[in-house]
Amino acid sequence: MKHLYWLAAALFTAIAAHATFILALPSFSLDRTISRLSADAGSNAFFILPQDEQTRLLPAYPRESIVGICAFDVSKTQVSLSANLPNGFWTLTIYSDQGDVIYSVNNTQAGTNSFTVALSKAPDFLEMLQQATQKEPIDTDTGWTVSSPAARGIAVLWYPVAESAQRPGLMRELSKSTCQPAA
Amino acid sequence: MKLFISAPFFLAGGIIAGISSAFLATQTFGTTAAIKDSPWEMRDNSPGSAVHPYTTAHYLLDGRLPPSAGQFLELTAEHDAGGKPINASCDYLLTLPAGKTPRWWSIAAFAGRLTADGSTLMNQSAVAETDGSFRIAVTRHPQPGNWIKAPASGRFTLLYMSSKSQAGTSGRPATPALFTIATSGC
Repeated sequence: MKHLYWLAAALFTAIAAHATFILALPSFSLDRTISRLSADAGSNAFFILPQDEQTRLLPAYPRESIVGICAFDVSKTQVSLSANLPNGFWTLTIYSDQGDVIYSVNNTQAGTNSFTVALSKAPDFLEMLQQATQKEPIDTDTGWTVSSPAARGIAVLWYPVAESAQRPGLMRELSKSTCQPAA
Repeated sequence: MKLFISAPFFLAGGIIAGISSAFLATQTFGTTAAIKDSPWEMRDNSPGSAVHPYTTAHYLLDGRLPPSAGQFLELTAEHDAGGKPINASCDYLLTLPAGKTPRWWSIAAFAGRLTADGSTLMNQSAVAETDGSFRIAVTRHPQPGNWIKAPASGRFTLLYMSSKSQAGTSGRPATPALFTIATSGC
């Protein structure tokens, strides 16, 4: 009975450690990964991942695939991702900094190999309340828009390559994609 | 006094129990057989899943990005159709039946840490049989036709990535056409 207090404290500590391991550690790990990958290019810039990094980040995907990424930060500005892909099967997946898939599309769903996605920060609760009392903004159609619940994240363009000899040419084509703060 | 000395042990025990249970949960939660009695297992990381934080943590803690649940299914097999562990000392024949093949798929053999390098075959580079099915040999030595190099020794795992027919859904993943795994010789 005299240990009951400490047993309760141990149980509370176990729950806190469990929650920290599941909720905080994975996003910390992803944040470190994004920072490492974008150390040279910086945020809001598109680049092709080296094969070794690609194998680490997406080990289940064939090594000959081409993976282009953009580590985006929409805390201060909108970001425009303009993709330019070769014909064939491809996917674009946008992850939040928590590792959740915010948006995903493949070539059939897109219906085109060249498109632009405007990334912006989704309004928080207070901003939504303010917007509800304001007039509807004029809708300007600039392509596809994705509202991210997180300010930071990573957009991943993936293209599988059947023959390694095709890789350099396809990489050049995919390299024409851009990711930059919206004007 | 004795009670206060034992306090750190209670707290340390709580931390160890919390982390151990969390690690175990990331390894096991959301993993189910693709279909009943199938050697293929998949991990349900769809956003609507009750274990979504655990499956996401499973990928992120390993330094990987989770596959988009709306686009792909990632399946692994460690046993053949008869339930025996897949081992490099045996040869295997994988067959994907015609008709329900996904738009894109890849299959790989790996030992130890997950990696699809070196021994991967994709649908774009695989040759179909006249009836539209695919037959792939998984052996240590080269074989005519579709072939995946098995690891040099020991037990290994097959990894099957398959595109989903309908993307963007948040429900449980649909089961794609699966390869049968037959042992063709040991």
